[in-house]
Amino acid sequence: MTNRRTFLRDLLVTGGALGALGSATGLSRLVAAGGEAAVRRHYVFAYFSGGWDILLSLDPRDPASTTAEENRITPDYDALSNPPTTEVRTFAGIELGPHIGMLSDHAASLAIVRGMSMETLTHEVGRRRFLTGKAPSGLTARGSSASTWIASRIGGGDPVPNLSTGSVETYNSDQPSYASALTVRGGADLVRVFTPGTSALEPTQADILQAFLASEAACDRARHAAALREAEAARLRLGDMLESNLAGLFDIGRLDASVRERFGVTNTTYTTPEAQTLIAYQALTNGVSRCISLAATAESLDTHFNDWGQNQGTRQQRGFDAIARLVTALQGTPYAPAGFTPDGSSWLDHTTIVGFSEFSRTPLRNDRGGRDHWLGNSCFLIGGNVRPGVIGRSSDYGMEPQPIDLETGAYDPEGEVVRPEHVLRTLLVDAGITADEADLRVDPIPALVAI
Amino acid sequence: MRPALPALVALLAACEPPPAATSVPVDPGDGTPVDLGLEPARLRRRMDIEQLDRSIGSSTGRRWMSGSTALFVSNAATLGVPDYFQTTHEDLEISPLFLKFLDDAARAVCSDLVPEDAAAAAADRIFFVHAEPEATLPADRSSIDENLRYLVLRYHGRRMEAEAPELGAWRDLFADARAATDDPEVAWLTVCVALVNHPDFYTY
Repeated sequence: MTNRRTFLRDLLVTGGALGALGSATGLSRLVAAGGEAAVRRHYVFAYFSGGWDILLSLDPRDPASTTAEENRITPDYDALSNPPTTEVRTFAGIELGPHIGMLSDHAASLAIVRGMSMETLTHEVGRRRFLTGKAPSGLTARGSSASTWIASRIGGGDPVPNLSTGSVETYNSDQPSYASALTVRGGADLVRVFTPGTSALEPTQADILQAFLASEAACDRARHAAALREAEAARLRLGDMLESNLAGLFDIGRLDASVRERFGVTNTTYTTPEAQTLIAYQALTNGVSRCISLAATAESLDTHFNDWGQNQGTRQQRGFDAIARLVTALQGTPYAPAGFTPDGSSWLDHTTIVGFSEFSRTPLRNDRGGRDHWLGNSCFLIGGNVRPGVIGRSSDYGMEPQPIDLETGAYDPEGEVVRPEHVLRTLLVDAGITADEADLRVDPIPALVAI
Repeated sequence: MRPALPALVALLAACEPPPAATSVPVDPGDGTPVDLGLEPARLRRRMDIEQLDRSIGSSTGRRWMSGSTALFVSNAATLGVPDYFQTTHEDLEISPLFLKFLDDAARAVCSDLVPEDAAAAAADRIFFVHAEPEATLPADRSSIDENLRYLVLRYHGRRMEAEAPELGAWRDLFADARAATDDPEVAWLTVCVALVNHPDFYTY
């Protein structure tokens, strides 16, 4: 059956409107995307907003043996408000901080990259670098997001190849327009976008209207203006979405109570971390999206003042808990998308989840009781082809980024300091983009993902 | 020495007479307009949400409202309007989400505008300015064309000649919509929604 997208693709292949969805390079990827529909890979990018304190979770230090004088590090777990513990605990061989939350239940599947360098102390710069793998120009992102690259390669047949919920930024500078993220705040927006408009127009009138807009888009003036081509591509995508009748998947209030409970959704506020992960689960397992970005925190982690003790731990733990519930749900759902013969694998076996923040916070607390921006960082990955364990380390004096051997993930003074582009390059290779088409100019990390 | 300088200058000037002006033949052509191609001189861009809200207001005389709530304002975060806390940049991509909100706004505003304008006194109308709501083709083609030209100018800022081919597309839209309904206002409602949904409305 030919839908609008396949029609458009056919049109492109015949050269009818080469520029309509991007450059010739984009075209080749678009065509390739159809040929690679068998690639069963899915990705979730979970953004922890504001700069997380990794001492409390991903890269802890033992308070008993870590001092400001000796290490220039102060865990200060006893200064937290109601911490679950004031000790570093070990799960599946990985030391984790007091606010790792339910993610510790999945430690055996967890990979943590420590000792990363963000090379910035600016929120926007760090965030955009982790999205694109490139240092921004000033604050302006350069290149396309990794999610866009992946969606362009493997998401071409999905109703929403690239979904961003929680308004996580994504960028598309050089990929086909269908790979641009549909960016929403939460489930309510998705319900709106998947629900036909008001009955002000009868279906016949609506069809006449769409035919008129299509004919206008086919005229010379429209075909020669990039913005008008973009408008037509978006109109076609919207038409596909409305035809797909998917609104019910994201109407959280109407989902079965057991589903909401599984994700810890306790009200109809559709923009909480719990709701975001539920949306991600629905979009993944119902074949709506192959690539999803979500906001894992409802409130900022940017705790420069004494709000650090009150909020830093609880806010990031809420995000870890939400991700942990998503992991549990994916793990418990047999992988059986349309056209795939079940082989006993779960959705988690095919889905890679990446948790990241723009940078971390200073190892020493400031004189206001908070922690400021720190260019060191960590991130975590779980699911898919991820190799569990710890990659790299930060120094025991000042938590400085440390070089590692990318093959083994172990400290190596002659190795490389891991930056976001290493992680993203690894994910792109995992998604089948083996050449450095995104121009990240680094090698992938074989120790992180089985590639 | 100083008194001798003017004399020296005068002597040099006398040696080399200034060059005479010569005329060079120039062909200015026959006045045929140069083909500048179809590409606009600058890239078109999408309006931001505030511009869109104001444009709908100035074109239709109405804002997209739910009760006393301005919906472009209440949905600002969803539509990517910066809050200058988390975001400082408005993404002007023409996304499916943007088009969905635009279509919802168009349907809501036009479904108010068309019947109210049809019922208004002729001097107060902003939609049925050159044609009556019950005008039909082909009998009232002249007034319908005139009204369509007026509407395209009002909504898109494009002045169309009476015989412009583009006008035919709008006339066909009206005719198709009119043929599919017994209610002439529904046909004009379709035209109104099309005017707002058209990229010429929200790009510039």
